[in-house]
Amino acid sequence: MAEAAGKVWVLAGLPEALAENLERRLAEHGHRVVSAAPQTHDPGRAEAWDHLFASADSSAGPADVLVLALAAGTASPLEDMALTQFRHDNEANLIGSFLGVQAAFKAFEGRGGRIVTLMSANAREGLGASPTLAAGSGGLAMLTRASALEGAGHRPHIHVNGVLTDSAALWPAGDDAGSEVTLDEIAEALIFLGGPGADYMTGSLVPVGAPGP
Amino acid sequence: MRPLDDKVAIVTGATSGIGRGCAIAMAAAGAKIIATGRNLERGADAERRIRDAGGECHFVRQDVTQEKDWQTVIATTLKHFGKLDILVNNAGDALLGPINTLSRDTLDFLLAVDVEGPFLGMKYAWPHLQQAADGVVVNMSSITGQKAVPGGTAYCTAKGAQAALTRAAANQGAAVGIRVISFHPGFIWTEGVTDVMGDNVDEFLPRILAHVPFGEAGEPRHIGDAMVYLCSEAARSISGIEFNVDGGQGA
Repeated sequence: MAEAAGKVWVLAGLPEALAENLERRLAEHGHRVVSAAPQTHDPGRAEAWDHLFASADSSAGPADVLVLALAAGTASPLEDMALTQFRHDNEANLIGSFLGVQAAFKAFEGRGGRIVTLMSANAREGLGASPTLAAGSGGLAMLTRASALEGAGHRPHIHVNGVLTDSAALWPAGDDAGSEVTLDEIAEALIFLGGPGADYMTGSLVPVGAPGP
Repeated sequence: MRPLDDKVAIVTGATSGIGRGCAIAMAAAGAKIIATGRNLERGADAERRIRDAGGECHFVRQDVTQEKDWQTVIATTLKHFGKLDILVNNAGDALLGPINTLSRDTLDFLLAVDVEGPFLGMKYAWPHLQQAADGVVVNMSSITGQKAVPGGTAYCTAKGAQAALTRAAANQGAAVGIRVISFHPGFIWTEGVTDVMGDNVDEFLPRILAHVPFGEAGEPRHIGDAMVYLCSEAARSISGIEFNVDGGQGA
C-alpha cells in the first residue's frame, strides 16, 4: 500500500480505546498526532476547533488530516426521549461535526488536506434504540459527501471520506456489546482514507463491518 | 511483512489498464499473480511488468465468458501456486449508444462479459476461496453501476446487475468466510480511453471531466492501491459493500 510518513493528524471525538489504537499506529508510521482533549474540547463551539488546529500548528506543524468521530448518542426509545436530550446530542453530533469540517477547510485552504469522518452504521440502517445516533450518523454521512464536492474544487484538493461501522465496536456497552469488528480494522480504514492510497477518493463512505448499500 | 505476502490472486483482464495496474500493485504488495486476458502479446508484456514490480506472475489466456477457460485458469493457479486467496473479476467491456440503435448482440455481449464472467469466476473459484484463511472476491463494476450515463442503457444494466450479483454473493460468502466487494472506479485514464476516443480526445475529455468533481482523471495506480487495501487482512471486516474510487463522482 502507498505510504506517506511525517504527516500531522488531528483526532477529535474518537472513543478513548480507538484513539489510543490509532495514535499508536500513526506513530509507528512516523506521523505526528494531536488529539482533542475530551474534557476541554467542546465541539459545539467554533472557537474550540480553531484552538485545536492552532494547537496542532504550534506543537506539531500544520495539520494534514482531521479524523472526526461522531459522539455517542443517548440510548433511549424514541417515545421516551425528551426534546432537550435530542437537541443536546445533536449539538455535539451535527453542529460539532459541521464546525469541525469548517475549521479543517480553513486550515487546509491552499495546501490541501484530508478529512476522515467516523460514524455509526445507523446512517444507513435503523439499528438499535438511539434516535440521536441515527440522526447524527445520517447527517454526518451527508455532510461528508457534500463537503467532498466542495473540497474537490480546491487546489490542492481537500479530500473528505468517511467510515461507517458497527456502533457496538465504538461504544461497547449494554445490549450492543459484542461487535465482531475490531478497533484494529477501524483504525486501518481511517489510516487508508487519510493516506496516499486514497488519492483519487473523495465523498466515499466505506462500511467496515457494517452493511453496504 | 507486506500486506499481501503469501497471497495468491487471479486478476482477469490484467493485460492493460486498470487490471494491469491492480496486478502490479498487488504483486508489489507481495501477492503471487495469475494474470489473464485474451491477447497473448499484451499478456506477455503484462507478465513482464508484473514480474518487474517484484512479484511472481504467470499469464493465462482467457475469455471470461467461457467455462472451460475458467477451469483452465483455476487448474493453472493450483498447479503453480497450490492455492487461491483472491479473485479480482476485472475483465469487462463498455459499449454506449442510444437505445434505439443498440442491438441485441450488444446487450448479449455486455451481459456475457460483465455479468456472466464474474458469475463463472466466483462459481469456479468458490471452493478454493473457502479453503483460504481470508478468501476475497472483488468484482470490478463502475460508477455506471450506480449512476446512469447517456447512452448507457445496456452498459449500466450490465454493471447494475453485476453489483447486485456481488451483494448476493457477499451474503452467501459470509457463511463460509469469503468476502465479496463491488469496486466502482470513476474516470480512470488508460490506453483503453484513448483507443475509444481516438482523435476526439480534446473534444470529449472536457465533457467527461465536467462531471468529475476533482476535474481530473484517475490513474490505474489509484485503483491498485485501494485494491491492495481491500484484499489485505486490514480490511477483513469489509464485505458486501460498494467501494468508490472516483474523484468524487459518487458523492
